[in-house]
Amino acid sequence: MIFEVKNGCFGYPKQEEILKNINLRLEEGHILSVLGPNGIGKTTLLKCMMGLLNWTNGATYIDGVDIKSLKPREIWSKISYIPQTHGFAFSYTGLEMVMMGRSSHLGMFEQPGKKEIEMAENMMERVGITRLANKDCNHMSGGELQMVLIARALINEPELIVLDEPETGLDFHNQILVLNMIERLAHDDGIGAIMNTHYPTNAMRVADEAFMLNRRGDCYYGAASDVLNEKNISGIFDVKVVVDEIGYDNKVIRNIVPVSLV
Amino acid sequence: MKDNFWIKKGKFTLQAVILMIIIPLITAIICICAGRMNVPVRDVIKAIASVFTGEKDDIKNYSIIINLRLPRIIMAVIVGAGLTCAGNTFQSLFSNPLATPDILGVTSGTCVGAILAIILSCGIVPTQIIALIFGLASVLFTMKVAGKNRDGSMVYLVLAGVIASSLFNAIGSLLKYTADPQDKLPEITYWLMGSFTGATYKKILIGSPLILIGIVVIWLFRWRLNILALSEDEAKASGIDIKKTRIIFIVASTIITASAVSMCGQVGWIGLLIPHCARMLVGSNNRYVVPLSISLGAGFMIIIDTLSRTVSVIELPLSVLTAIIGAPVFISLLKKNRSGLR
Repeated sequence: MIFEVKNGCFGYPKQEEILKNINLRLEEGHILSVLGPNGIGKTTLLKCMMGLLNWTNGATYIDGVDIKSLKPREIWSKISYIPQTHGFAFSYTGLEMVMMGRSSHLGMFEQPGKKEIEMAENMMERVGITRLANKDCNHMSGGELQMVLIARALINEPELIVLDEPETGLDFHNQILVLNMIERLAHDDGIGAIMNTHYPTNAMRVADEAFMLNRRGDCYYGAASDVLNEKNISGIFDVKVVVDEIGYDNKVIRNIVPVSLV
Repeated sequence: MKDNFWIKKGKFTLQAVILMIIIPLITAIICICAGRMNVPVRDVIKAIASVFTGEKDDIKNYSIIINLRLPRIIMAVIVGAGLTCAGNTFQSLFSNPLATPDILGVTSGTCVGAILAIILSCGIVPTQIIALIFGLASVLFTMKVAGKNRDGSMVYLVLAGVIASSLFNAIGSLLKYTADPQDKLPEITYWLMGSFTGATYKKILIGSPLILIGIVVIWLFRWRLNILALSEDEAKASGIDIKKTRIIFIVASTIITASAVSMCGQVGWIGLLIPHCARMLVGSNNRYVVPLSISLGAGFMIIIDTLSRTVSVIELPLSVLTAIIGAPVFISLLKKNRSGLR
């Protein structure tokens, strides 16, 4: 699937336009990471891209077709969205939550049955969270819940997963777990991913492309290795950064460390 | 929910299904015996059998059981199941464990419609229709006032419900003020407190189809309530048409509330209490919550009605009893489930 945004503009009603002329193109199996300071509209950008908010100008295209002309079911059987994690009003178990990911494939009066339970169990095993099947989602840790939500997204058999800050608030172990998962899905299984992140280091680790927004309304977009440089990052976050390169396991890990305010 | 007494491998267990059928049945049999005049079970069965055989050997028992108690119990089953269903639907619909038609002002709205109908001396069907229109108007009003529920906070919605309730209660009072104090006013007042006194088979036949339709619709779509109970964006991203699905549920549960109100007046609490009890037993998955709460709601309503006609010489209003029983039970529920609420 080719996912494109052309000329996207958005502003909340009676407020200034916050997203101007957004142009993106994501190929199959690529990871795009979106970076920018707090409150710049990263989540808004994701929501506009998927049609959860309407662009005031411009449009999103899936394989060249404007998503406005597609039925919700057609869009959401191709895209899975994982919003920032939060509590739920009613507490479902891990298995019930994962099964909800099948909803775009079920008919009007259909309920998930034996087949869906089996699918959910297999998916949880694949993601490595079988032990969470009977655990209450409101009692899960951030890392556990994120994995459950990833399983819920995958059971939909999407071609693109959109994640809103998937690794925020997770410890090192869980960060790597989640990032490896995303990387494996994209590069092995060909499922594209778009993720917001606050961590340039993480973006550099997994992303093929990067999209950066700053307060002056310009954006940088291109291959992650080109865009995620000292100058751009310090320009966007108004901090001074140093980029450090560490050799490990025959690979070069680039680490971006903020050192002081500008 | 993990496997327990009720559920195994994503399905109700056999004993759960049997229990869900037996609960209302046993309560009905026990309650049909109780009353000013206690009738032994054997005579109850005889009386019911005589409907089919046509041999009426005990006219007095026959008239008590078949003409007085049975219609009340049937009505209690339908209204109890309906109001529980409506309450549970509102809770999922608004992702808010406190939302019920009473709390969101829908009951007050339907009451205004029904008061109007009483003043105009309408029959039961026009009463239902007028109550339904006012009920739908009050849902829209509450939703409009609450605005878009962005952070999932329940405060705005409940506040909007308080506003709607007090507004519609005021309109109701105004209508009562203008009603004839000799004739209409007492009728309205007693009826508002809720009672199955006037239950007849004719009333059941006319009034219950709408409630049953509402229950069936909610039953068929019940799994989708789980999705609507997620956050707005997650619900949209599930790929189901949430606008249409929401309207279906709102109309179905408002129909139930309006019909129940026009049949037996205001019966509070049950829509809040029973779904919470059901959730404590089977978790939050509406696939299980809806059937179980229908069964529990029907049983609970029969007991409440039986108490209303047996605890004192005069008949007690239903809403008085549901509140007296409901409040302490609900307090203990809240204490146990404090962490589950936001």
